[in-house]
Amino acid sequence: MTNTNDDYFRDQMVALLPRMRRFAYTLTSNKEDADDLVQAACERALSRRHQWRPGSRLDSWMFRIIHTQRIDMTRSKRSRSVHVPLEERMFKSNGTGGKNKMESSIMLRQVLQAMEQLSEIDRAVLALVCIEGQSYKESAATLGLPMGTVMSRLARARKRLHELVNSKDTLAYEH
Amino acid sequence: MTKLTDEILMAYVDGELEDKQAGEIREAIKTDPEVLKRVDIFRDSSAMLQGVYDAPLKEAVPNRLVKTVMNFKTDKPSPGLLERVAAFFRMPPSWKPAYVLTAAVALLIGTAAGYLAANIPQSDQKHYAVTLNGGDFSRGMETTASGQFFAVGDRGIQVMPVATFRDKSNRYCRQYEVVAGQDKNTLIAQGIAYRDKSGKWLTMITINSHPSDSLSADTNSGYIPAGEDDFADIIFSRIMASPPMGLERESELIDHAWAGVSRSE
Repeated sequence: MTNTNDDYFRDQMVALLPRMRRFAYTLTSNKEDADDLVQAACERALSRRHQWRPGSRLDSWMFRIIHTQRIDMTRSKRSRSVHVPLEERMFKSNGTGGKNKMESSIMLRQVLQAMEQLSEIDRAVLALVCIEGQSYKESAATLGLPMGTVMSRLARARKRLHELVNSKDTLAYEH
Repeated sequence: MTKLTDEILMAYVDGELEDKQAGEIREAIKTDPEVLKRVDIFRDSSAMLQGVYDAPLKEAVPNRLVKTVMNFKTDKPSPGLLERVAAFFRMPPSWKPAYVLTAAVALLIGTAAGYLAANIPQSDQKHYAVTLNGGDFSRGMETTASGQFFAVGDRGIQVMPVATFRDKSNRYCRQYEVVAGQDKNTLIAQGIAYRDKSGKWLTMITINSHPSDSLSADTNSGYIPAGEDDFADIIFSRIMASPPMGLERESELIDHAWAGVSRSE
């Protein structure tokens, strides 16, 4: 890989960092872990960049690496507790009013708690389809799963998420 | 009438259905409040997740991440054994002897068949044994020209033959690459397969790039390359009888179902 190509590759990775962080955040529900995960995945990608095929989608390749890196990190129990202070999780863009802020924080807490109860693979499927907007086929290819598996996991995960977020047992109702 | 399973209703919400099916769902929603309720669960989940997890898009990326990407030092990757073999195969007839090549990947020599197999974990070998011998793999190797892809299995795996040649036993052999990803963006493995007497293509060598980057979690078992032996001359001295054939000759063979193959078997 020439210097020009290397620079281009790194520039493309930098441009992808916000989306990589979002994807990682969906997997970890913890911003610090998400950033550690993205950093480790970037290092892995850079050291194996010869495996990436120029002209193909870098985002899918990076999502795949982030996902497998996450599995590795979880196995080695390096991830932090998911229970970080609520303040760290607040929407920055949301609301000026106290009521809006409170509602946002309650929703945020409910969703994060619900996501923590899903499996790694379910979170990854949700992230790719519902947040990244990938098609079922693209998500299946990114994660190396059959498309039918992606669909069944996705449907189950969305229903489970709905149940958990609307459950009376969620923390939000304790306030 | 389409059965209104969760997967179908979800696919409707996600715009994954054909027009006819989508029209049926639209009608069902109009007439059945329960269907609407189920559809809303899927519709709401995307909006809810985007609302929660879009936060990182609205923040500045931490400097340490940018620095990692821009400054992370990488050793120039030394080409893997089969990458060098691939390059060697692509060379014109004035090819050089194999001993100029070196390798740093440990291979196992399969005593039963006398062939080489990659030193990969048993679980991954099992996976590849399923996907890269017979079936889709064999049909693809039989009919696909070098440089073209064919699909193997339902896990998004694609295989591309790279070159065709004869081995010492006068069998036809094909070198191939295995890739994954929507646009084939991840090199999983490289290998060499031979055509047996029955017309089945069987892998004799595979080397994985790195399973944890290419396979889903259930087959990822932490492959670690090991060993420092020079196997290139083994491959060339034991396997290759002549340089790779041209595309025209290869095309003739494919068109004639590899007629006359395996003459020494």
